[in-house]
Amino acid sequence: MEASARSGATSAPVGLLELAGVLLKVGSTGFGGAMPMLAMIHTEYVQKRHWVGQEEFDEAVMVGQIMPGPIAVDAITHMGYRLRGWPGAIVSWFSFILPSFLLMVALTLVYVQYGGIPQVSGIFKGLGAAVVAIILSAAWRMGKPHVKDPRSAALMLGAMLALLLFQANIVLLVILAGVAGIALFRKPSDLQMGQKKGGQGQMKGGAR
Amino acid sequence: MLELILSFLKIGAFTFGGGMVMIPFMEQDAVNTFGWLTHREFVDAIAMGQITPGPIVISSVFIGYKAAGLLGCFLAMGAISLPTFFYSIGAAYQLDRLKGNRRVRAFLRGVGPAVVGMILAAGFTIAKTSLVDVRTGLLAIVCLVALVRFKVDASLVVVAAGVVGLLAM
Repeated sequence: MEASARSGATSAPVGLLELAGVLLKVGSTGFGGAMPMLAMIHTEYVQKRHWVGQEEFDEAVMVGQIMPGPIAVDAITHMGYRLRGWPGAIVSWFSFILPSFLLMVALTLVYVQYGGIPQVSGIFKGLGAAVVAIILSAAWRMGKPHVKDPRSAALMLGAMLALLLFQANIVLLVILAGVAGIALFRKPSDLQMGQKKGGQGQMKGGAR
Repeated sequence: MLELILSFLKIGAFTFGGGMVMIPFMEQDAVNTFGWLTHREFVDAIAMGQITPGPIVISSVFIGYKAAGLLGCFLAMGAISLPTFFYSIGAAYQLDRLKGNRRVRAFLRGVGPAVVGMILAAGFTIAKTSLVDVRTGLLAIVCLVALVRFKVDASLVVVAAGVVGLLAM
């Protein structure tokens, strides 16, 4: 058992029920966005249960970053698949989403029923202010690693103005920005960021 | 209903960069294009998504409800999750190629800053709806300082702001 920590290779397959239990727990207590949730998942998967090794975990996080969609959801789906195939992926996704899904349905029903009464309108004024702050802080947090040079800043401003002034199609904007990225960032040094997790593993990948 | 499914499949397929990016996507489709909900309701949906644990994508449940009732909750959640579910599994086979591929990395390197710009744009339009007077403006600034400077958890900030709103607004 102690020997498996490095490679993450488990002798017995991970039980689906156990997988579901862990993700139900993370899904119902994981506040604060992707990074705190990933930290909880890391504790369970890597440290406590040795289901995956550090390297596999880093790879799963990278999958989450490359692929569209929420990073934590991508990562647990990916690891679920690697642990137990399709059933593992489906059970992982379902258990992770279920608690917040049920809670959100309940909140929605309450909102539709009571959201309009004047006594609670103050609550939503307060919430609105908080949402603005959360979105701006997300932009700040994501901007720090992503916007480090004039080209990135131009892409950021361009996308922002295209949306604000011209209501540009957002899918088209994503594709254009990606194509611009391929055209603009040609040097290996341009591609350093976002790779910090890879470290040595990155060299291995590059040698292929 | 078909519009809901197609729109959310599209959002699920293109939101590179994590959950927050879904906000400008959902805003464009659900509020501006199809009018399933008002700006006001959209802001409240995001707030509720922050109070619940788990990823922000859960706000799509509210939009689904407004678009198509209880069934819409399931459809929205399913549709927005489906593309990325298959991507994540497919990645198990392509991981080494994806990791080393300069094109993929350069593409994402371009998308990253653009996505930040899109989130900022969403922040501005939502500010126009939400910051209706001096008090809401001040509250937003206090929340921002709490989040960025003191790293307070977003769910706590939302709950505290709701309490302040109930008592003082």
